[in-house]
Amino acid sequence: MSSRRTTITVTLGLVLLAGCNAEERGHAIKLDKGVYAGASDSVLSDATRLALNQRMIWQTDGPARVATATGPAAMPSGTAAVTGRMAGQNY
Amino acid sequence: MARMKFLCDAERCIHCSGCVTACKNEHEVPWGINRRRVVTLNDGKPGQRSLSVACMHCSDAPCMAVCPVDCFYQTGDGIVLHNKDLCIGCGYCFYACPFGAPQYPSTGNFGGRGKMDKCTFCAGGPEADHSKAELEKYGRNRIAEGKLPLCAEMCATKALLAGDGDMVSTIYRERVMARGFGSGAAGWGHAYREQERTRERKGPGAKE
Repeated sequence: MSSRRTTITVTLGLVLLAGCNAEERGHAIKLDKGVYAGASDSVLSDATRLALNQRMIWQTDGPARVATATGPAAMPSGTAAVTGRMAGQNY
Repeated sequence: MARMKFLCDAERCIHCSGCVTACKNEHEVPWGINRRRVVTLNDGKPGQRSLSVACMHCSDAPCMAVCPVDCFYQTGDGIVLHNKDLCIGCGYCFYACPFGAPQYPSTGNFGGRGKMDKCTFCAGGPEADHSKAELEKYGRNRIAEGKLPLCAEMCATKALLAGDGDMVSTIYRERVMARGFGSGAAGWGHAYREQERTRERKGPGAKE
């Protein structure tokens, strides 16, 4: 009788512990020091990088802008296009 | 690969706090949190300067080094971001950061601080770009839209520069060469009576 109760207890314990995994808790449980264990971020496309560099020209002054810019910075297009906002919104 | 950096040109900052307002508005940052703020140096004295300060996205970030749950990561463009799902709100990063960038939304029972919040360089977080979760947790992801941080883009005097570190330094270098730097600038000594004060310190009749 006693061994049966022990078996049930151990089985129940194992079942409960099986629920303690990272996915069900929603975050990492086992930590490896110095290693980021969260979700990975998206990588910027070349078009987005180009758009960012173009917008940097807006931060320069008059003389510097004349020296470095070939024209007004274009709004991002293609994969870098604005989503979820008004089209053509500058800021 | 670019390394995204901020630079505040103290000669130009007029302490208008437009950057602070732009940041709070863009990311709908709640009361009590300032991802960006303007500080004054040498307040009321000659040489007073204002500086806009936020997370500087350090290349060797101390917050990343001290975080006990490793919730920080650096994007390929050098932007230091963190994962609020992993953050336990311990506050170590706040003590490690030389700029006081990490902010905590609330003080609850037992000293609970809530998840840390800081400037994201308008690059959102690890959630899918432009998703509702990303907006709620981290604010807008302007970088994925091909836009620079709003604080810098809205700066009326163009004091706050943001973007690829190489380009930022090029712009700043051009400015410094055009105007001179600090006490080396034309008229600086006259404006702040430096020679007179030096004479006063040394006493009457002292040679320059």
